Amino acid sequence: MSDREQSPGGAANPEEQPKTEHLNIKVTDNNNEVFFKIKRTTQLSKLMNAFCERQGKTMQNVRFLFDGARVNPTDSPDSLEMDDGDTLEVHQEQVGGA
Amino acid sequence: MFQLFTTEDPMDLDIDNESMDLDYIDPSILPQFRPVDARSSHELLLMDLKSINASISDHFQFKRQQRSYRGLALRKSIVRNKPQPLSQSFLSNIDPAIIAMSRPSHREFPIVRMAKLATKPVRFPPGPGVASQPAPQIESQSAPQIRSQPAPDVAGQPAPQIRSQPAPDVTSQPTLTKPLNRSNSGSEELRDAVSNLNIAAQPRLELSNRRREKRRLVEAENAQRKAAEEAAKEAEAARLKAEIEARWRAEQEAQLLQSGTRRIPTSSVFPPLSESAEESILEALAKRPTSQVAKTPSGQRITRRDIGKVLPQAGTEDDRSGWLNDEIIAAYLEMVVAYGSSQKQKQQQSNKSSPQQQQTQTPRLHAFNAFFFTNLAKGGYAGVKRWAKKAKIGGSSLLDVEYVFIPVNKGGNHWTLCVVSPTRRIIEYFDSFHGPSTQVTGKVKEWLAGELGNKWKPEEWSVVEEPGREGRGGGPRQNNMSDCGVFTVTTAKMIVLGVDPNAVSAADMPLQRRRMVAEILSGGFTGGFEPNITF
Repeated sequence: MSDREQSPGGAANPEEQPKTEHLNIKVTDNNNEVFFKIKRTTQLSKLMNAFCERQGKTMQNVRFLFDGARVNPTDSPDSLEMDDGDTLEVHQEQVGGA
Repeated sequence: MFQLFTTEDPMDLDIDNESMDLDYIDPSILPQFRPVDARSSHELLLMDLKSINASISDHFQFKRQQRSYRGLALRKSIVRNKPQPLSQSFLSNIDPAIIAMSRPSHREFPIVRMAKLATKPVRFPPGPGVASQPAPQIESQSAPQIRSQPAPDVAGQPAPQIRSQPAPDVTSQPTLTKPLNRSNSGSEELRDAVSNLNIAAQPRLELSNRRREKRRLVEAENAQRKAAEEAAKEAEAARLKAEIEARWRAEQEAQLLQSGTRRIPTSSVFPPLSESAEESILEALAKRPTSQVAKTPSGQRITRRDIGKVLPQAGTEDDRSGWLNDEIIAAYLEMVVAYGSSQKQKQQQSNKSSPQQQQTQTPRLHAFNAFFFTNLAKGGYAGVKRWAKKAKIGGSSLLDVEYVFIPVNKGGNHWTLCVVSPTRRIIEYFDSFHGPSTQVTGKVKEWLAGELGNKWKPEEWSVVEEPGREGRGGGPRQNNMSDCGVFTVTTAKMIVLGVDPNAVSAADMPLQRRRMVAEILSGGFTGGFEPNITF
């Protein structure tokens, strides 16, 4: 099972905001799921860094994907046209040679 | 006085009329010649001559009239060639004997012939009238000329003898003053006439020469102009031909690409890198691991660490294995797809025939990243349910896509490539180790089934395998434990270029690694990295 956690930002903002302003985003690496509540215009770098810190990963070794498309730190839910409840996938770097 | 009628050469008159029988003159129409007698009256002879001329002219007139279809032209020529009377002075100076001697053939050119005759030293038997007198005169004048010629050749004896003889002859002549003078002046006039003929002929010749020269110049100019025009025409034709050929070839190339035909190129697929490209590689490799060295067409950043995977450097943090990571695979496939799409767009623009096709937003090529198959393998179609839609190739529009490249990371250590060709309903699998393919192709079929829904008709689809490698991945083989990723992306590039992936071999890999880095640093197959493949 995935441990459900609230992001610090989400926990600090318990009061209801207009749905258009904030959305809940699930970030999962298939082992862990982390929920974030962020503004539509917030850069996703915040979220990505928070996830890496929490999971003890370095940004170099992970890839954030939204529906298969790479997510850049400068992207925002708006720029990716994300909806409430959408999921960001986190993948570990893959290598191969032999 | 009598008039001697001359007509121009009857042969001349009809020289352009081959059908007319000129050589043959009916003898019955000609008056009978009386036996020539120098002593008979020259008036009679002249009468004869006149009647001969007249009858000849009548004969031809008759013949011409017979050919009424040429009537007008002939009538014109008759008028032009109307017999002209000779001048009185001329006639009076002609020896009747000469006239008498005139043969029918001489009548072709009465004036010239007779003038020639007159200048000939002919001795006539003495007779009454004017005729006999000019003869000695002519003889005495021309005799020394003729006789002097053999003098140097022949022995000295006879020459003086002969010369001494006419000399007293000439001196003895003065007694015949009047007729001599008359005949003398007459012969002079004749000679003048003859020389005048020559003199007149010379300017005419000159004129005709000049005219000929002019005509030649004009002709040369015309020929030159014509040649230039022809050359221009030829050049135009050649240009058109080349254009048509080029268009035809482009169409053929497009068709070949469309049909998925893959060929072995004649030129090297991996030309050596330029100095500046090598320089840029070294410059990028010297940066810190986290610093960005390039951007993919979609804006994805590539760091020094990523290119270190392709060209690991000693003394750095680079993993020395030379294994490529998903970032490099994705970046290179993205470049391949971007290049292929731009080429296809160019073709469509040049065709201009399918603007409505363009507005169907389905990309002709697409490359998934490495995590597509990871998700697909783990979660089935549900794991990648939204991926195709996000890439605008979702649902039935997937069938309009020419190639979908799916990099497959096997076991976390080996890169392979699955190539789906929805337009041709073909699935291919390339593995530089020629490993088993059924697991991958089976999963890809699962995705196709989920994506296409009721448009999925398994019987239409086939997994194309190389002969002897059924159930296994195909393509060129690697000869080490590191190059599979390079083979994977290079195969995708070759397919987009219409090149047989087997044209690439393990020996090309060291150079291709450098090329890959240079191409990634350049941000795509531009700026000197355009693939110029000739087949």
